[in-house]
Amino acid sequence: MYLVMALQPQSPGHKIRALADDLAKADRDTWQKLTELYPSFVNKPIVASPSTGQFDVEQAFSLNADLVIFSLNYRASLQQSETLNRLDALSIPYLFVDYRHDLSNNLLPSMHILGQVLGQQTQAQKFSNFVQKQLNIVEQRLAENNHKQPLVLLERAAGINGPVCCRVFGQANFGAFAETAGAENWGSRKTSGVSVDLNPETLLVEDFDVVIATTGNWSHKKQSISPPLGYSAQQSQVDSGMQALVQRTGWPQMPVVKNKQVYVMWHQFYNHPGYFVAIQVMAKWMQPSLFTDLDPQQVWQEYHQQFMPFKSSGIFWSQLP
Amino acid sequence: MSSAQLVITQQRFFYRRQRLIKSLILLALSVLLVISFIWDLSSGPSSYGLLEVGACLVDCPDPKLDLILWQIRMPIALIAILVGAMLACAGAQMQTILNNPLADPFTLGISAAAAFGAALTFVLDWAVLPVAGVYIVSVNAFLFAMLSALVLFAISKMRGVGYQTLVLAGIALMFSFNALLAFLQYIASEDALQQLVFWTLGSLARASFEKVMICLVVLLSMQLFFFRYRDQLTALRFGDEQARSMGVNVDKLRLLSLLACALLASVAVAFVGTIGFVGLVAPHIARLLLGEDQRFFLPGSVLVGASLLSLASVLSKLVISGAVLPIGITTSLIGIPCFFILIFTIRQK
Repeated sequence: MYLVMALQPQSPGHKIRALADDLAKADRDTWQKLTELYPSFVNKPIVASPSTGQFDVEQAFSLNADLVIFSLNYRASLQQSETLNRLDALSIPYLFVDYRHDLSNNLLPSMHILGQVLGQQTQAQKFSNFVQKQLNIVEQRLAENNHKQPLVLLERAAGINGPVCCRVFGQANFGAFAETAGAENWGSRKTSGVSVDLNPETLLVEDFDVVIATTGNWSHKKQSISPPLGYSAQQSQVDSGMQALVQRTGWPQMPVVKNKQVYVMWHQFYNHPGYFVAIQVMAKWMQPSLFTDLDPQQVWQEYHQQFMPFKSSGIFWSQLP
Repeated sequence: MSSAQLVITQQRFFYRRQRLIKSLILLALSVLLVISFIWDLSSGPSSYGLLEVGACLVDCPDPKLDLILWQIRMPIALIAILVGAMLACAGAQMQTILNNPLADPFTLGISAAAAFGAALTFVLDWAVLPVAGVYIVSVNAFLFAMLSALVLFAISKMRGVGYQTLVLAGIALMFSFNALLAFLQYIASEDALQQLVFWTLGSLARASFEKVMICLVVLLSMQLFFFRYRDQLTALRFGDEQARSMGVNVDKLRLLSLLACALLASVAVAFVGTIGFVGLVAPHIARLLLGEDQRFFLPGSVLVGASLLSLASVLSKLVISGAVLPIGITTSLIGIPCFFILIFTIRQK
């Protein structure tokens, strides 16, 4: 839906017959904003549950779907479950787009294809230009200037399970974002996958320059201690949440905590077309002297004006107070 | 000396020799446990040697090592031993009272119930005791594990229910809870599913001294209970009729033991997630080494279980430096080879 919203921000529900349930489940903030503005979304049928690879072919058929759009990373499971064969048998075409596996290579082509499908080629081009321009700022400056690569620890969904520490991003996803932003990601040395469990002792052994934790609004989870970043976040909650994170075992003794080089970032950027803003923010954290003039907050607001049905609000990243 | 006296003397000699051998095996297992505990304490991504760690145990000049040893490694190393011991003890006594070599907290549905309880929190944000705060998952898992044990307990109290029926009821419970768990997985969001998978693979990282103390209290009190009934439990292995004729109140013993096992398994699983295999295999290893006599079999099972999980904890740290593998995976990787080696060597004898 993030991609569709970016392509038709004035009428996000246009041509959308049915939805998957993941937006409502994984990103309650965005879902709430969207349904406040467009209550019709609440009544749209749910045809898929991506986290379990389920897709209701029969419902898609009865809704007379002209096209089904899937995320690329579910292709294998959809093939195994015969979903694709059944869609073939019913002559329902389907399309794979990628907005999470390899964002830097696949997002823009996916956007162009989706633009054609929805008849929003101009908007797709506009999106592509915007993203390219913003990413170029980071890439060019890093390429032109010699810089030390700070060692960064990227904690995944910090505090979602209470004070247990930590799952850490590997090469994929946020790991790739950090590397684009000019950092060396510790987790990338350990796994090519999305994440790995950290031995908490590592916090005291490795000399991390920067720690970035992804969090989100998980206030509905009773055991969560995460700072609730997102559209409804307030600075006081985020600050106290961050204090709780750095109170976990071993954390108060880390030099990086004493130096306040600890940051939080909205978890949902991992499959969001606005991910490049996360890269800009990280670049600013890693190489503050190179990006003094860059204002990611401004870019994020601009992104909302041009590519989202609603304005930006709340907090999406923050530094340890 | 008459021939009858000679036989008796021979038998006494044989019995004493057996007892000595078994005591030595127990001693060897204890040494193994101590070695693996020290290994666990001295392994980690930081480059502290064995001597430094040993010195720090007594008096620690290095504040960083002090923190690593006492706040990070010690609770994990201790909980590994305690949980291993608890699961092995529960498995051993379930096999004893149900007279079934496949009985353990896993096959009787206690772990599945715990996982379902945890899943309720992860997926539906639902808690039995919402005041439990960060312990909400543990509390939910524990209560559901106990609930499943109580169902078993209720079934066993019915008239005419033998232990065979009880095993079948346990298996039915396991499948029911697994089905409910699968349903929750089916409707879970991606993040919730991740959390659930992570939880069910087991993790010692959730250890704390508080949890260590709880485990210790539960383990010791249940050990005392089983120790008190050691001879009656041994008699149970000869069959119900035989045990009854020896004056054992079979039904009462079975009920009480079942509750004790459930308590052990529920606490263990609630704190570290569903670690399979130890509860099933540790008692078998102990039985292969030490036989059925509860005086040796029970401490043997406990020592084997504790050593297995302690070694698994070491392995989980060694595979990727700085990271930890889920303990459920390494436990099976360590335990299965041990088990096979024993089966084949004892067969050759």
